Amino acid sequence: MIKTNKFLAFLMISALTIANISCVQSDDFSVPDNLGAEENKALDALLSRGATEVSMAELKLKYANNYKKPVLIDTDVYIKAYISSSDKEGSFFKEVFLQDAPENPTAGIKIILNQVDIYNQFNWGREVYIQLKGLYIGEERVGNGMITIGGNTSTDQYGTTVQRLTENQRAQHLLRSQNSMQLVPLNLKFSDVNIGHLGIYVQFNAVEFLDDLVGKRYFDPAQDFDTLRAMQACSNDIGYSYFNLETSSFAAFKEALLPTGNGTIKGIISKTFDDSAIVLVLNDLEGINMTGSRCTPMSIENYNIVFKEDFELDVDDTNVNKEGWTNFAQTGKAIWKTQISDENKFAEFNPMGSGNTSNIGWLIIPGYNKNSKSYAYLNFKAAQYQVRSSTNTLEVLISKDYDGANVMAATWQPLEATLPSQNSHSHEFIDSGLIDLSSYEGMLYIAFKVTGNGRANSLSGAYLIDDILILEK
Amino acid sequence: MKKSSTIFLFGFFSVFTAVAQETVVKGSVIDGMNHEPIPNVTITIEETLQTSQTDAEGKFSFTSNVPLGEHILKVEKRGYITKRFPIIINEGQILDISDMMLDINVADSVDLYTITLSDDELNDDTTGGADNISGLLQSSQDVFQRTVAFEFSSSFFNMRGLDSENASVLINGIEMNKLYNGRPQWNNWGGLNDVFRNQELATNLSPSNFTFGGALGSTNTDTRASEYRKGGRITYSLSDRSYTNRAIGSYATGLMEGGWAIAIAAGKRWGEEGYQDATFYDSNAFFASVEKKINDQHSFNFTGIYAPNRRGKSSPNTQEIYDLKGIKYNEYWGYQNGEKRNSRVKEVNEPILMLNYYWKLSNKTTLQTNLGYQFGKTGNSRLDYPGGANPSAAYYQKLPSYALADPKSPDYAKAYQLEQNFLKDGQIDWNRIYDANMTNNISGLNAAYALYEDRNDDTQLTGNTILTSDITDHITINSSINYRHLKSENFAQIKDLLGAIGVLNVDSFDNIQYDLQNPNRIVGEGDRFRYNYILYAQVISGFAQAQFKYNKVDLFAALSISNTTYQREGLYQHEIYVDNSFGKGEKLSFTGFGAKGGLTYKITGKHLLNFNAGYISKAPSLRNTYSNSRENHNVVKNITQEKITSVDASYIFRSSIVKAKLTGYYSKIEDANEISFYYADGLSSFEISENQTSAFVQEILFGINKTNFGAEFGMEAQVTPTIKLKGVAAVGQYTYANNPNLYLTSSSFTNVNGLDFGQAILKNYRLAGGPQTAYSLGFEYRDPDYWWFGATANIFDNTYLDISPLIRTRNFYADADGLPFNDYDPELARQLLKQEKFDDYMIVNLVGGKSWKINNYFVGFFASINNVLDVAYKTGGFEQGRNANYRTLKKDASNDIPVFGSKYWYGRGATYFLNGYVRF
Repeated sequence: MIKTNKFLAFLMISALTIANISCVQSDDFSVPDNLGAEENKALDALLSRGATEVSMAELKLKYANNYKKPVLIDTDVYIKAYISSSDKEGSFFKEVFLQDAPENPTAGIKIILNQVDIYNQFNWGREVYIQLKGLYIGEERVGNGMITIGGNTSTDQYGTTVQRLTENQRAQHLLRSQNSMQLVPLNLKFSDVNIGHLGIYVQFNAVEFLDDLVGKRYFDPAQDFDTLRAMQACSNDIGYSYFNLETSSFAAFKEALLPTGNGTIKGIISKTFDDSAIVLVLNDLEGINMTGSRCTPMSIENYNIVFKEDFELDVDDTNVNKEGWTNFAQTGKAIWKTQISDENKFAEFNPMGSGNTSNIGWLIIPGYNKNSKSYAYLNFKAAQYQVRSSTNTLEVLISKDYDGANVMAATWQPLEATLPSQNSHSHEFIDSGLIDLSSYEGMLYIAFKVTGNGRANSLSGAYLIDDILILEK
Repeated sequence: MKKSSTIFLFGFFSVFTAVAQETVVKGSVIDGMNHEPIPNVTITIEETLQTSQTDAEGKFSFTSNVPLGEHILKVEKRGYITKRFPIIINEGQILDISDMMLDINVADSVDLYTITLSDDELNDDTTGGADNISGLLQSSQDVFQRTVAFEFSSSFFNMRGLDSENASVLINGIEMNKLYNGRPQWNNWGGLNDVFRNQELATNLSPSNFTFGGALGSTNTDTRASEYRKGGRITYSLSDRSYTNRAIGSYATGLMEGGWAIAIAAGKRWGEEGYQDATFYDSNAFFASVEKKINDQHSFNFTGIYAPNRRGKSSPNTQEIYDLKGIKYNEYWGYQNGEKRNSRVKEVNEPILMLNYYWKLSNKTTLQTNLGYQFGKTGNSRLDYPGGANPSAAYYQKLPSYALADPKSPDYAKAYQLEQNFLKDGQIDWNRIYDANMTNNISGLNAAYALYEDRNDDTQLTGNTILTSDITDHITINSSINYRHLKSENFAQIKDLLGAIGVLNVDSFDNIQYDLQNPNRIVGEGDRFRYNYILYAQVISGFAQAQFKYNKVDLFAALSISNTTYQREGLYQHEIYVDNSFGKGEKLSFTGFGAKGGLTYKITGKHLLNFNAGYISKAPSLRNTYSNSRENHNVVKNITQEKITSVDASYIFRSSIVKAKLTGYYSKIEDANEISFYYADGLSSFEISENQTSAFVQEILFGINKTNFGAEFGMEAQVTPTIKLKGVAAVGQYTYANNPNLYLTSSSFTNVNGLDFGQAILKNYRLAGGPQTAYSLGFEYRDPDYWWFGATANIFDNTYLDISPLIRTRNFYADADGLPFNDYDPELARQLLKQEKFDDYMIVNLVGGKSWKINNYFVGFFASINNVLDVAYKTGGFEQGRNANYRTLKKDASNDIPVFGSKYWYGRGATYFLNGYVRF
């Protein structure tokens, strides 16, 4: 019995000893100690061997200078960039947008690579170095303006485009540094955005989605790929300015409801899939803070009418001759006259019957003194009568140095307005739209200048002006 | 104590003496080495099948109905070499054969194979249904069954085409088959071979004294402490199969003073890598059994088994991968800090406690009452990638076939690059995984990757009582009442965050909340996520059997009845199944019924006939009842009991040299269900969200009928006293017998009831699950000087690929509008849907050993080499469900290398096993 017990004890002890001397995979694994070692080595090599850094702008120029054909980079150059996009939420697919600085960037670029879930390696704000030798600079769609770094090229009937970097190329060329920065979005207004902003992380303030999008989601299930949702912004201008947000059908947040309030939105400036327009694309919904009350754009009621002329008190078929106005024939005999049609009076310049081969007539409204802080708009209506030639024109001009008498001595600049053309119906008054005068200051003169021919029927036509308004706030 | 039992046994025999004539056969059996008497040796007069057991002094006798003339006396005991002695019995005489010697089976071949084969069971839960019944048959004395267990099982041969859920595995009368899938979890007691030898096997429909059993029969292992021979044993083994090292120690006291007996054992198996890459093995096993014999009538035994084990799993692969990386390739691992780390680890840790009460009501009647309690966990780990690319280097987009199948034109450059990358590396990049998580940490994002475990924490209580009564010399009655209760908690649990901060408990694929009760929860290591539910199961069953034994005829008949109830309780509320996932679901109840009977007719002692027939209806397993238990309460449509009807007939021939048996069998399975989970591409339906054609689906195939029939033949011939020849043949045909219905469910479908695809045209397709034809030829040489060797050649044929039922529904040819594709070509379709048959192959196995007796110690050694010719062979495989329609399949099949080719398992090449032991 004693022997047995001893044996049992021996057996137990040896069993337990054996149980502990196992060298197989255990449950505990620590974080690998060589994380990122190879990448660091490659980056150190790049920087220490004296490769040349080029700016994004320089790099992009190479493509522009090559008649829009992809350029193989064959010198040892690199760019340093910051990742502005994130594919975490599915907004981007196998592509990364980059900008040249974490703050106040001046250029953006795209790199395309054969990788999904890029964000868990090339995270938003990460500083990267792109070793360019052996890569191509070009576009993914010829002429879309989104300059892109690729690993190869491919040619079809639309031209030559760049292709994605392979996994191996990615590992050799796209190198991370240890730095991840908090990108500061570039503050822009809708009207500021241009093709130079492609790829840059931006912010729009005081914007909202269109009124009829209330209750809608980011993605419209009727679309196959991408959905455009228009945003609007109010300023002190009359009416809204607009910009489109594009959301992919693969975006994780596509089912989310669009915010109904007003506020800020942050994203990347990109192009629509078909390259027809510049749009904003969201990394995620975190950059959105649109909970403020919706804005009301300025309307005419918000403005004071500082000048108004509808010619109703004038006498039909008389020369326009009003206090403070200038009715000046630069060449020819014809002059602006008050006319009536359908019980509506207006000013008309009609060279027909003058007999002169050239008639240029100016109608200048009284000077308007604008201070620098006020917002002002010009609005009028215009129509044509028998205009058959493109040499028969109406221009709207502005001058700051007109002395009230010497028209030709003053400096006149054109104003953009919606004007009638040959195709407009006769006597159909067309609204000029609101012509923003806010950027001007001082004594301003507005002139309507018609150029015509009084001899040939085909070259002479009449222009009609009515309901001139200047609004100010 | 010893004395009283001896007296009792003598008393037992004297009863017969009083009844019998003068003719008596008696004798004694001793150990050939130490000349000690051997108790519990089974003595059989072969012609009449009369049996007797030796008593404590090794003595036996036959006194009643002793047949006259020339006969063969078979002397057998587990662990010894069976001997057969010719005898002549004369009327009225006493034939006394004293001191018949039995030699210890030095080959110990039972042990050899048991370990190596049932160790593989740890790998059994991969999707191919690789299922091993060697653990069931290893104790058999029948040459056919032994060959199946030891030579055929590494090819995953299934006896009669039936898998192990058709065999009841009992320990001390308690059923160990899991209610989840009906299969025994062999590794709950793996590595304890020394103490799992006392098995009583009833194969196929033959009667067991403990249970009704299944269509493949039953086995009961007895761990009663007093049943172990006094002594100890230490074994050490080396191998390159599942593990590299094994050590087992065991010791039994035998029955000691005061009626106590103790048996203990401890085993350890470990290895950094098995045959497949990175398949580590780490298993410990402890066993203790204590018996207290109160008196001759009452005895209590307690058994505790604790066998925790962990093992790295290996992947099935496409032929493209095997061609590139060889048959040891495993996609589940990668290097981390210079060590191979396997992402898929199976861990089983389910201790068993048992209390058994043996009550001898009378000399003829015993009542065994058992209480079993098992608890613990089973876990299967895997990588989750909610925010990262598929981490497997064998992902289809990373293989050359993907570039070659480029829709525009084959991209050879890319294919070359992919091939080089795969050849050079081709494993999981753990560094990238950690880097991804740590990059996400910078931005405060959740894990891109996490290692989690699918957990199954069962608590099961079993109670039963088994009555055995020899009513007369010819009639034995068995009956039992059983109760089982299971609480099975199922959930996923984060095992390792891999450097991340947390994991979002939301389905990253479609942003669906796993648990609406706690939406957007961030979980950390040790937290449950994804799914979380409990299954309750309760089984009450009864069994009654009568066995009749006469000179010419043996008969038996058995009945069983059972009631099974299942209930699911969801602990998570799934976003898609808001009203059908949380809380308790409907209670399901099934009534099962079984009846079987058999007859053995002894034409003469040499020629016997045996017939059996049985019918079993039983509740479907939990796995085949709930169609998507991780997400909802749904139950398979038209759920009903599964039925098996089985008949067999055998002819048995026995002479003093040759033993042979020929059997024909026929089995029909009706109303079976199969549920599988996979990612399907090419679904044609409008009812998938946003007009997608792919989704992660549950495929439910129900009302399946199968027909299995065939013949078995086994023969052994002791041509000289030292040489034995063995020959075995198994020829079967296992097919689907009808066109069962199929439907799919998925949380991506707009229709929560799933998509009904009608019939799957499966009739006459072969069932997968090992070769349907197998032959074995072998010999054994046993030298009187205690060394021996043997060799077998085994040929396997008619192994078939597991077919994908979805491809064989109307989804295959119907476009989204329900009409056939306009380019559908029935002839081409037939070729595409032809079932793949694997090549036949031959495996040669060698085994040999020697043993010595040194003082009171027995020292033994043996070695085996499996698959000496290093033949590469497919043991199984399955069609990927990805190409679910004609167009996608046709397109893929037109590639030189299919992108979604079938996945296969290969058997092992040449492997060795060395074993040494000391016994005392």
